Amino acid sequence: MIKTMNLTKVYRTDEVETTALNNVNVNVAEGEFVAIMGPSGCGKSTLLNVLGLLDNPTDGEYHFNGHEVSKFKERQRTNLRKSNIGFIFQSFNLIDELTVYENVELPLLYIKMPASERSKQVNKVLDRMKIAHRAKHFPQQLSGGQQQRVAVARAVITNPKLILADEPTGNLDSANGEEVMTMLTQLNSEGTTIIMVTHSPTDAEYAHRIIQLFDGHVVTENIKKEFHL
Amino acid sequence: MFKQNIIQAFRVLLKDKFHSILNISGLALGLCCSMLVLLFVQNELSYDNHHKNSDRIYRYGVNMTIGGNSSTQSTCNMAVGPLLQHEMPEIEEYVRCYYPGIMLVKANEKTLYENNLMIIDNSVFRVFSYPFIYGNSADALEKPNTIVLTQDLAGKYFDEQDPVGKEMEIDNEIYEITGVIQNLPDNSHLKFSGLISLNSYLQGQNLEEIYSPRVLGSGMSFFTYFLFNENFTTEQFSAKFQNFYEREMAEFDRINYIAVVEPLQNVYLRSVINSRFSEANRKFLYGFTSIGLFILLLACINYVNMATSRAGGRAREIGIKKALGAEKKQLIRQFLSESIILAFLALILAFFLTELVLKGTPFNELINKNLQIDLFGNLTLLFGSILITVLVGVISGFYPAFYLSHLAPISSLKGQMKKGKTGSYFRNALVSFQFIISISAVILTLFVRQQIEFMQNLDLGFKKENIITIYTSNDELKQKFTNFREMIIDHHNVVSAGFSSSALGRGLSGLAFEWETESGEMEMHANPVLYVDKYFLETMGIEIISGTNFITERQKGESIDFIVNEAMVDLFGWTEPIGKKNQYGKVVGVAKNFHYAPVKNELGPMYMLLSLSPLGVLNVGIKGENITETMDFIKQKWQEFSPDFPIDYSFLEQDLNTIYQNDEIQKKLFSIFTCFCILISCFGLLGLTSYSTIQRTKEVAVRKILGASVMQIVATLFKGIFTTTIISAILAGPLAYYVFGLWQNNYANKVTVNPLIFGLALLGAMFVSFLTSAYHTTKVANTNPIEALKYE
Repeated sequence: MIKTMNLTKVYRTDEVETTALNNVNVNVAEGEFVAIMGPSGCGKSTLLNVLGLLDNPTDGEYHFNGHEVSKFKERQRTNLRKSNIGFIFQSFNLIDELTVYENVELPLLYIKMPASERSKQVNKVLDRMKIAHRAKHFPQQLSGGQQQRVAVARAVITNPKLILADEPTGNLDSANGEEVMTMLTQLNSEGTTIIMVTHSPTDAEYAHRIIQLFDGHVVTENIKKEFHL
Repeated sequence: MFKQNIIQAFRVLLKDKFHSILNISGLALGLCCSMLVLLFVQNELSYDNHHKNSDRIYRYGVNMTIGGNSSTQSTCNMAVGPLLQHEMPEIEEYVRCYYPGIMLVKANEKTLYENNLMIIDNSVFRVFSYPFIYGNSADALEKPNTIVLTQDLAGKYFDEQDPVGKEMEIDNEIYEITGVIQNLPDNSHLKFSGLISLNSYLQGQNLEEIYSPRVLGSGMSFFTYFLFNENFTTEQFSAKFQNFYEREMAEFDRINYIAVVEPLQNVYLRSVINSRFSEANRKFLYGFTSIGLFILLLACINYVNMATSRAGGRAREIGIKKALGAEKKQLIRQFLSESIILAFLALILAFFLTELVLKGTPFNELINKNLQIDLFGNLTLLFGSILITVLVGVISGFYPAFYLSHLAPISSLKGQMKKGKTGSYFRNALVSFQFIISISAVILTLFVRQQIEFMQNLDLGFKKENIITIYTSNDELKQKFTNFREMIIDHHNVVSAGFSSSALGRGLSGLAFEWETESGEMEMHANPVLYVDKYFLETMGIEIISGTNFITERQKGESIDFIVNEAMVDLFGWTEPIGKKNQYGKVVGVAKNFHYAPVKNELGPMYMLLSLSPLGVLNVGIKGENITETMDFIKQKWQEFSPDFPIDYSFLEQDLNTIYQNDEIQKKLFSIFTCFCILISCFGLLGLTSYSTIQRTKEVAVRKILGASVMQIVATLFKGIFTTTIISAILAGPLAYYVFGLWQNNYANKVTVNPLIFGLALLGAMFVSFLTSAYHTTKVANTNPIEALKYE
C-alpha cells in the first residue's frame, strides 16, 4: 500500500539546512499495523506527515496505492487524503467551536455526503466509540480519554484505508491509553492499515512491526508479530 | 456546509467577546457613516425630481459680457416668459417669480415679519407639483391679491384650521388665502413659505409696454422657468432664440445678451447658469461622500488587522480541517462567511446608531436636511446598505480568508504560526494608514478652526462692534426714515447714525459705468455699489485716505460724486484718482479698503454714492456701556415713530458671525468625522495591542526573569506603538497641509497655518495611543513570569 524510495525531507531556513528524513525506504502492506519509534527529533512526525500527504518530500519517491504522489499539488493531495487517510493526534486536535457531533461530521462534509446519510454515519460511529451521550458537548467539556475517542471516531468516519496516529496515547493516563490502543487494534483487525508514531514501548507492542528511526534514517525494522495478507 | 459555517462563525464570535465587540462596534460606526452618506447622496441626487414634469422643466438664465467680463445669472426681465412663449409655441408654460424680501404679515391677530414669501405666476401649479391640502390649484393665484401658504406658514398663523377664504395683511395690502400646500420637500432648490399672486403687481400696468424686447437687457430680477413640450430641446431653443435676438434685440443690446436654458434636474448639482451654487453643492457632496467612505475603509482595516493577527489562534483549526480534507476554497468560504456575518451584525447596530444620529443629535440641522431611515419605504437604502455590508464583509474578509487558508497544514496543526515579517509589516502598514488618516483629520480640523477664527477676527476696515442695524423695506416708512434718525441721534448713548442701501459684510449688487482710464479713454466696468448718506462713513469708521467725504445732499440732475475704494484705484491704475470721471459724475474721495462682502471673497473694487431715493438700512453707532438702556430707548422711539410696524433690527457683529454659518457647519462636520476616525482607529489599536501583547507574553516573561522592571517592559512594548504613531504623524502632516490648501482655495483671505498644530497633533496622537494600549500593555507587564511561561 505504501512504498517510499529514498524519501528525503530537508527544512531550510535562511542560514540553516536541517535534514529531517534521509533516504528513507519504508514499505507498508495493506492491513498492517506499524509503529514508528525513535528519540525526539529523529524525524518520526515528519515521516508521518509525508506519509499522510500533509507535506511533500524534498526528494525521493512515494507510492501510495500504486500512485507516485510525491510531486502532487496540494489540491491532489487533499483529494487523495480526504477519502483514504484518517488522522489521530497526541493533542486530539478537536475544533473547540464545534460539538462532538460536528467534529466527527466534519470529514463527511468535505466529501460532500448528503445530510441524511451523514447523520446515520455519525451516530453509528459515536455509538461504536461509546460517546453518543456526549454528542452535543464541546471538546472542553470532555475528559482526555473521551476527547481521544472523539478523535478516533472522526478518523474512522470516512472508513479510510489508512489511519495515521501521532502518539495517540501521549496525553492520556494508562487506562485511557489502553482503551485507545484496543480501539486501534480492533480497527486494524477489521482491515484498516495503521501507522503509529509512539514513544511508548507498551503501545508499540500492539503493532506488527516497529520501524526505528534515528537522525532521519531507518535504523532497524523489527517484526513483532506475524502478519498475513 | 453553509449551515455549519454560520454556526461556527457565531461560536467564534461568542468565544472571543472582547474582540468581537470591538470589531462589530468599529464596523458599525463605519457602516453608520456609509448609511448617512447613502442617505445624503440619495437626497442630493433627487433634487427637484419630485415634480411630475421634472424632465420637461427648464430654468432660464442670461449670459452677458460687460467690459470684457462674462457672467451668467439666473435672473432675467419679467418679459422673457411671455415674449419667448409667443416666439416659440413649443414652450407650453412659463413661470416667473421673485423674492420681495422681508414683508410684514398680519393675520389672525398675529403680526410677524416673513422673509421667505415668493411672488409668482399662477402657472406654477401647472408646471411644478405642489400638492394642495386646502383649495384648488387651477386658479389659486389667478386673481390679484391672493396668496397660497405652505402648511407650516398656515399653522403659524391659523393653527390647524383651514384658512382658505381668510385674509392676510401683507405690507398694508389685503390678500385672500386661496390654498394651503404641503410643506416643500427639503430636496427642492426653490424654497418659500408662501406664494403671492404676481397678478397683484401687474394689474393696472400697461403690459404691452412692459413686454418689449427692448427691456430684456435691464430690470433682471425674476427667475423664469419653462415647461417645454415633449420634443423640444435646449439646442432648438437656442437656435430659435438666436432668430429672435437678431430680429428683435440685436439693435438695442449693449451687454451681449445670450439666453441659456438648463434642465431643472441640473440646477442643484450641475448648473451652468449658477455654477457657483452647484459647484459648492457638488464639493460638499464629494467631500461628504469621500469622508464617509474613508471611515468605512478604516473600519474594514480593523477587521483585516484583527482577523490576521488572530490567525495564530486559528492556525490549529485550519491545520485540522486541512488534514481532514478541507480544500482552500472551503476554508476561504468559511472565513468569508464569518466576516459577512460579523458585518451583518454590525449593520443591525449601525441602523440603530444612524437612527440615533438622525433623531438624537442635531446632525440633520447641521447639514440642513431632513434625512430619515425608512427601510421599507426606501428600498435603495435597504438594498444599498445590504450591498455595502456584503461588500464590506467580502473586502474585509478577503485578505484574512486568503491568508488563513494558505497556512501550511503541518505548522498550523502544531498551532505554530510562522512569525513572518511580512504579515506584521502588513498589519503595521494598515495601522499606520489608519493613524495617518486620523491624525490628518485632526490637523485638518484644527486648521479649519484656525481659518474660521482668522476670518472672524480679521480687521474688516469698518467698525462692527456696537453697531445696530435697523431695516425697513416698507416704502412709506423709508420715506420718513430720516425722521427716525433725528429722533434718536441726540441721545447721549448714540454716537452717530448713517443710512445705507444694505448692511455691510454680505456683499453688494453691481452697476456698470463707463469710467475714465489713466489714458483718458472711457471703459465700461460693472462693480459693486453702495448707496449711502453723508453720515455713513463716519458711523462705520471707514477712513477716507484722499479727497473728501460727501459734504452736501445730492440733487436730481446734478453731477454725481463718487467715493471709490483703494481696490478701484488699483484696478484702473489711477495715479490721481480724485476728479476721475464717469458719464454721470466724478470721484471725490478714496476710502480705505473695507470688507463690504464676506471675507471669504476677494476684496474687489467698489464705489459709494449718495442716494436720491430713501434708503432702507439705518446703521446706528452706540456706546459700549448701558446697551440695554440704549436699546430700550431706541425701541421706545420706534414705537412712537411707527406704531404699526414692529422694529426689525440686529447687532452687526452678530449678523457678521452668521455669515460664517456654512463654514461653521463644515467645521462641525469635520470635527464629527474626526471623532469617528479617532474612535475607529482606537478600536483597531486596542484590538491589535491586546493580540500583540498576548503574543509577546513569553518574551515579557523571559525579560522579567532576566531582571527587567515593569517600567522597562512597558517601555519595550510601547516602543513599537510610538514608532508607528510618530511615523504616521510625520506622513499625516503634509497630507493634511495639502488637503487644507485645496479647501482654503475657497477663501480669498487665507490664514498662515500655525506649525505648532503639527506638534500638538503628534502629542495628542501619542497620548491617545498611550491611553488606548495602556491597559493591555501594563497587564502583560505585570503578569507573573511563571504564569506567562506556563501559558506559552
